[in-house]
Amino acid sequence: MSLTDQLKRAAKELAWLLEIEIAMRIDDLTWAQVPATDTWYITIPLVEGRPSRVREIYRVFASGSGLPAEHEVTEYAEEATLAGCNGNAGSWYFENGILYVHTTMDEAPDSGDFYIAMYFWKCFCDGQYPAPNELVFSVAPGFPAVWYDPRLQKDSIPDLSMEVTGFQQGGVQQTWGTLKLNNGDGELDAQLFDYIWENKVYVLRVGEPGDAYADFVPVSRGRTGGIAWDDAAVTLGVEDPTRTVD
Amino acid sequence: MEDYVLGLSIPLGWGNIHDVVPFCIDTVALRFKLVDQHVDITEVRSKGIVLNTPGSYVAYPTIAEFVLEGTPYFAGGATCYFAVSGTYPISLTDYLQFRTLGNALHTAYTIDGAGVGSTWTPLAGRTLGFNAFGKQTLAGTEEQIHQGLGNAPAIQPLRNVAANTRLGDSFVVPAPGYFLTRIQVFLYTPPQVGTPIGETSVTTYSSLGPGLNAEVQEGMQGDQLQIITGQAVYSLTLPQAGEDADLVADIESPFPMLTTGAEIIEDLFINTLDKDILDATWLADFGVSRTQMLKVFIDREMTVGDFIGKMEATLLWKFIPLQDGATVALKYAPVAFGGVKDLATAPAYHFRDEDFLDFRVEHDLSTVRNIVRVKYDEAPDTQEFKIATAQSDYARLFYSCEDTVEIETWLTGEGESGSAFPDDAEDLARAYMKFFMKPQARITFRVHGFGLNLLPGRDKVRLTRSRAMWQGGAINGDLFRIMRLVKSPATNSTEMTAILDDDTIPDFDISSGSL
Repeated sequence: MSLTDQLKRAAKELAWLLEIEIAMRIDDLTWAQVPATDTWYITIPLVEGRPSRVREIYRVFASGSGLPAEHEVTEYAEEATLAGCNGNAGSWYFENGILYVHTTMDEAPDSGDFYIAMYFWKCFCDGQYPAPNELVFSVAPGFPAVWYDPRLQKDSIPDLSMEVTGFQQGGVQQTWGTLKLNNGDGELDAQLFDYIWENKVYVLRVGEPGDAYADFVPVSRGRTGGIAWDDAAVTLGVEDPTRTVD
Repeated sequence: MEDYVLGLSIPLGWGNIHDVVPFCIDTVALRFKLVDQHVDITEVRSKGIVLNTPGSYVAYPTIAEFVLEGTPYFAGGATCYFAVSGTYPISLTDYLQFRTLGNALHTAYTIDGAGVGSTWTPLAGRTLGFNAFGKQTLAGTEEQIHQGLGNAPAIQPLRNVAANTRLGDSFVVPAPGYFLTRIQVFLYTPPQVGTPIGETSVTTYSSLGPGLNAEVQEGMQGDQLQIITGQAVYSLTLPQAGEDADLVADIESPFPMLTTGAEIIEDLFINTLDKDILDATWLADFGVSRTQMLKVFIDREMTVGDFIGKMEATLLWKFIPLQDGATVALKYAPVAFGGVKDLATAPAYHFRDEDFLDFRVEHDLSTVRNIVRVKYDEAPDTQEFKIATAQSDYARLFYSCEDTVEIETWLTGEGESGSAFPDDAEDLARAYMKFFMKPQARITFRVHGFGLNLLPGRDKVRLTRSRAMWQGGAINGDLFRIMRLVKSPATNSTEMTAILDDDTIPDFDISSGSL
């Protein structure tokens, strides 16, 4: 369904999806080595299904050919097989709840020479629906279908304005705000501490209950800001994605 | 509040300043004013020539003034003695060769020693080769008033033995009397043996006669010229008083020199502002833990509040007034910066679930930076700083942050020996990096009754809460430092904002360096 179609149905009930690609530090975990390879692995039981990407900064600052540049982020390539991960430095592979990593310098991820971040999508919606309209989707091809967690407070979604300014001014003026996730049950308490939610990519989509995932239209894509927590809800800042280079 | 200490301007500064241009407050007596406070005058220069005192000027440090002696004036018929000296060491292999001439009417001297009591040994019938110049009035035209004449040129080494540490001579000043401006001395060919390294200068004396008594009457010192290989003639110029004097002075605070934060803070509050509001124990502790060498420029006006703010940024501490008017200070001392953390360590209260009227936790992303630039060792003339940086890949990777924060300090970048010592600035940059590398977690809560007597920055509380955005989803008796207080007497409640009191912040691999 197109956005135009959605707007025509504004009077009808719409479903809102919020996807946030949060990060987890994994270089401080304890890793095991796949025998006779430079690949290391760890079990990460992600309820969200699987990681979306893995990135590294090599922290040993020395000059020389073949070394990653200082302070530069290296995005690992995702491999389709464990053998592919074994054979390629700077790659990752995920299977059956186990994350395999082959660092750029063939060292163990927990050697202390790296910062490594694993990213995965946390998926929320503003309300779940009975079959056959459940909001159960894959955020991308190859990702398992997951239940979208109905914590998003629809009323908290901020007004997101965009204004084309004069050519002499340049750019587009936009406003951002905050949105809220219900957390009265405390489900997110520890997760907000354990994972890194700040300055992460989010996508806000809108569709109609019963729509296919492809019919949900992106309304806003930005970056999360700071976090405010109280007993009832979590307030996430939403900010201009162009503020951050990567 | 008019005399509230943080609003007062600072009447006294610390450290030393070079090239201060004095203001002439008495054009007849040639009296010059430097600043409006007691300073030591370490050097006065005229057209780049370092002036002697006594002789060229008289200093009055308590009122920061000096009086310039006049350009040396000799009445017509008076005898002007002078001595030529060099700063290079006495050596048999490296020295200048001055030219003497046979002249039965003159007597040159070799002088053994540098000051009063030196022996002037006559070289009868010989004269140093020299010309002398002077002006009848200060605004007049320079005239030659003596010409070196003689025969049988000979070498007279300067400082190849102890007896020749200086060379002297004299001449009779013609009528009607002259301000002496310049003495030009002749060198032999070759002018030097070996490589004498240093400067040469000339000093004039009164007409009392050569030797002990004459040196008491030491007059103005002349130009100091670099030894230039192959140069056959030196013009040794005497500094001129008056409007063309082109004076500058170097000054510093009275001894002992104040260079550390504790010394400066103590002097500011106790000696200068007469506000004895510092906790003595804290001050002693501060002095022990903050030994970094500082320099503060005294030619800039700033209020005590601005001054304290910059000092806080320089040394990582906080100045916190108590309710009773006394003042206590808090020191943040992450590992890299060393020192004792603070005085108050015991928590004032332990709040539990049932105490909280409301409770929230915030992660402030806006505080995150991945580069800290500490500006230090400011050049007073150009106001340019050296830069020490610390960089965090933690903020770079996990928070996608590429923002920089700059902090201007009074750190000198020198160790106590005066050697280059950027460690202080680098340590400070690393310490700051720990504050900026991740969002600060702030807990804000409101409680009944408690906390009306607390102070932010100083006091701490323990918190226990079964639910929080915290490790494991709960807070179990962790220690927090109160950073903000809102006391509401009307409702008998207090809102507090606190941060984890963590002085064991892990020293992540923050890279640092100095430019």
